[in-house]
Amino acid sequence: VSGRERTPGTTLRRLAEAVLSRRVLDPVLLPALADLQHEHALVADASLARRARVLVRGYAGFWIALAQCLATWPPAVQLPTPGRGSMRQDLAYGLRVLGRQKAWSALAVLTLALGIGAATTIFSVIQNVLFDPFPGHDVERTVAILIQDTKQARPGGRTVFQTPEFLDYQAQVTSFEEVVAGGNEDVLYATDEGTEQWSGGLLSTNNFSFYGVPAALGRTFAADDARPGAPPVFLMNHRFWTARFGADPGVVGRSFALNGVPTTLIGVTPPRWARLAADVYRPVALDRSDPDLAKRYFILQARLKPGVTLKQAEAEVDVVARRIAKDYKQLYPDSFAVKVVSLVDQVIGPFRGTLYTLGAAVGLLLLIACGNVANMLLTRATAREREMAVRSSLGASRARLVRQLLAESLLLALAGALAGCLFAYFGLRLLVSSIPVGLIPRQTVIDVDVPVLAFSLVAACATAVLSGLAPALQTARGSLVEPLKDAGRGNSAGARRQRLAGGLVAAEVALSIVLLAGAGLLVRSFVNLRSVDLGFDHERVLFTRLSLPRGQYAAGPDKARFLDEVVRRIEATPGVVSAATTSSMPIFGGVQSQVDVPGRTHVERWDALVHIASEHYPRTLGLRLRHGRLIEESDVAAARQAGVVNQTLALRYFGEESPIGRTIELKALATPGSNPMFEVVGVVADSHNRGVQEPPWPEVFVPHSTTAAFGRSLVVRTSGPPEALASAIKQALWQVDRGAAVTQAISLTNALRDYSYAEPRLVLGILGVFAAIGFVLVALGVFSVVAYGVARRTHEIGIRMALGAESPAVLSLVLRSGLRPVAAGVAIGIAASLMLSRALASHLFGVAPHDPVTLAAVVAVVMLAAAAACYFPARRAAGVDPLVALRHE
Amino acid sequence: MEIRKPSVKETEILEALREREMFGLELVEASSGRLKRGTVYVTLGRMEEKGYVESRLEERRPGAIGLPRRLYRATAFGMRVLGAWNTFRETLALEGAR
Repeated sequence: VSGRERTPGTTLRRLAEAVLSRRVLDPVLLPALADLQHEHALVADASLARRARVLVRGYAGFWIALAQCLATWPPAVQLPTPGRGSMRQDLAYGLRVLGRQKAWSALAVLTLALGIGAATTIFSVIQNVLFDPFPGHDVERTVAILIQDTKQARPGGRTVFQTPEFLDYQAQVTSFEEVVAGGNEDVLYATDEGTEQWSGGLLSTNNFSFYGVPAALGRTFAADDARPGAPPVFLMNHRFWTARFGADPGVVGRSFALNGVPTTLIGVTPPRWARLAADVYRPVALDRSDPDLAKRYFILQARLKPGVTLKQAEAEVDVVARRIAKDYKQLYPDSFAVKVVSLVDQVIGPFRGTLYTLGAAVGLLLLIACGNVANMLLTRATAREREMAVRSSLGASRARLVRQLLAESLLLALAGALAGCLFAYFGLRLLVSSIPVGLIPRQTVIDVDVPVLAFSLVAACATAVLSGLAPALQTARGSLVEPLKDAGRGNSAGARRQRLAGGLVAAEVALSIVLLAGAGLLVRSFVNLRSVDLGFDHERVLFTRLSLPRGQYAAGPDKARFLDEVVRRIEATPGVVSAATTSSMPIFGGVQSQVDVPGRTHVERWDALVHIASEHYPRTLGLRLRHGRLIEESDVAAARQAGVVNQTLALRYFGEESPIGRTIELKALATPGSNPMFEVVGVVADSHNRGVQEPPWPEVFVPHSTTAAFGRSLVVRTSGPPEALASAIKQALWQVDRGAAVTQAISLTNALRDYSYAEPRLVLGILGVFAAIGFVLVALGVFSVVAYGVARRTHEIGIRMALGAESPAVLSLVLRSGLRPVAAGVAIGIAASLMLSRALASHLFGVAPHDPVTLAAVVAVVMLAAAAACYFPARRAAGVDPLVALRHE
Repeated sequence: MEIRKPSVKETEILEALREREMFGLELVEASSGRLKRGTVYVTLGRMEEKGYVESRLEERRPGAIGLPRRLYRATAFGMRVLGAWNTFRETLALEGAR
């Protein structure tokens, strides 16, 4: 390996060469390393999880081989290898020493526990979410196809495919070993009281064998279950089975009327099965000749053939997709990119970046904790100079002293790890409960498990070395003579220690600035996010989806009459201010439709979000009219082709002209029995329709009587807490039709909380806690170093004052020497946060990663805290009585 | 005559190397979990010292980076030890069965 090559194992080889003779190196360790490098090259293109697994396994094997060599063959360099007895002696002595200084030890353990606990907590999330998110085998080879519109700035894309398209991919892509299909459907379950809507999943029958997951109860699907004419069967999700049926095993084998068809429950999924977030699953065999199935969309998941990399599969799927796109032009954008993504990436998506950011942040916190404990150890070293000198003069080697001191820091770190695991255990519960729904797979179980405990142990050992090595070397390096004749009166070892402590403070301050700047940016971003004007009043509005019985209300006027009656009854309910129907949840989208304006030409595709709404919709949400008029009762009654557009649409597609009276074509509404041409009768102010962070899209509101297409929902403005009315709304619906159901009742405020604010709040909360802990540790660090400096220099200060130095001069001397490392740390911290804050860019809204105001505020806060931490020891120094100080030893 | 008794791992390795040369990691993969990557290299090193196996570095492709891998093959002596040990075991088993 040449010096410039960066292959894995280069460092390991150097280490091995340093320790072992060539007699062992050549026949044993170099072959192990060569195989490791070869294996690493083979998986270079594999998913991160697979690479990590291969590397961890490979390096573990190498370390075991190295350990065996060390145990078997004599080393090239004789390392100090203490007997077991003396190590035990070191640990026992360490325990006695730490036990004598209980408060000091407790503070050190607490500091380390905070660092290790935080690191363990974040590691648990990373380990469980990124490396073990799904049950089943070969998860790392499982992939999904993503079709991305290259004109869209947003990440993500289409992962669902219409049945004929799906079957074409399945037939034409040769990189796939096996393919599974999964699609969502609404399932209506009739009870004596009314109808419940369950979330249904349609699964190809090979889903369970694909993941190698058995049923928790009963059986999973057999291929024959989806055969035409087979007795209808279904499976129930374990979580739903527990919540709805109290985990009663007796329900298996029972017949349920699902969508009016008696269907037998054949089994319950295992607890970690959560595909499609469905309550129940029905088997499906994709058939392009079935008119009902042909229109349905299914998620395609596939297992790559062994040896096929993601890039190879992507290259093949790209060719196939471009061929397929010619047959299904309406499903593909003009220009698109094809990606083959691992299942983990598809489901976890951008949260991976968030986790890495938090991982980096917790690393900084752990380093601050190490720095602090190192400082505490250094401070304590002064008190132990005599002890070390005595032990040294009695024959203890420097290595022996270092080992003794390292044993003490190891004990501290292990105690810290133990307490840290407790922190992690409780912290995880808090953290998991605040992770927003949908951010991580439902299958993921986040807990303190064996890998997490192993991590904590490794973190403890690393912490022991990080925090203990420098102070131990420094202490053991001390002179034999000086401590014995002079009890730490400003000797050179003390000055060296003071320099080291200053360096540690500078490093801690720098790390803390980075953490605080990150937290500061997130605070500003969150404040910006919360102060976005959504364009309507989201307080006290309940949203709920409607499920109508199959085959009924197929015509527009029928559906409109039914919905109008439901709305009328809901509006008559006490506590309801206003109610309306719509096709999608406000804030988070609408029916996406291609738009044309007769008489206006355009090269690019025009799109808009369409809301098929009743006349009270603007009033219920509080939309603001800008020009013309809103949709009126007469428009709905006459199913008039009238539309109200938002300002963005008016400006983007009509420019300076007034859209009022003009016609627009909404191609998504060109369904049988519907007319896609609408006359614009009014313009409303923009309201957010693609989430809080995205600017509003062009939007059109049309009377709900003009089409029977698309699902419908209700929005209800209430005078009290909206969720309290969910039951009354259900009863009002059942008064009109007991076969209809409502589901997913949620207030818009809670929807915003869950879908828009929860993730930023989570990241801010975690980073904020880390930054706060880091800040307190730094303040303590500065205080202890300055206090130590004052104690060390009491004699010198006494002489200065005896020679005429005034108190203010002494105060300024101490403050200056205390703040010097802080200033250095601030300078490094500013540079580092300017470099690192870019990593936060994707989490920021309305604030730049290099925001000078935030950075200035953080620097001011740190300097003030440092000044306060310096002031108290400095004041003590300035109040020193020269006579007492000169007697000070 | 003293019969040299190869260890279980050594037997496993010699059996695997009957047919062809193999890399250390290949031996691990071929053993279905009976050989571990942490011990196979040490065992191979000892076997080479005993003369049971011999090794050579693989031929490198131009431009290949990293260390060259080591290929192992059983020596005639190694195969004789294995054969003698197998015969010895079979004889014992036969005697035990009588």
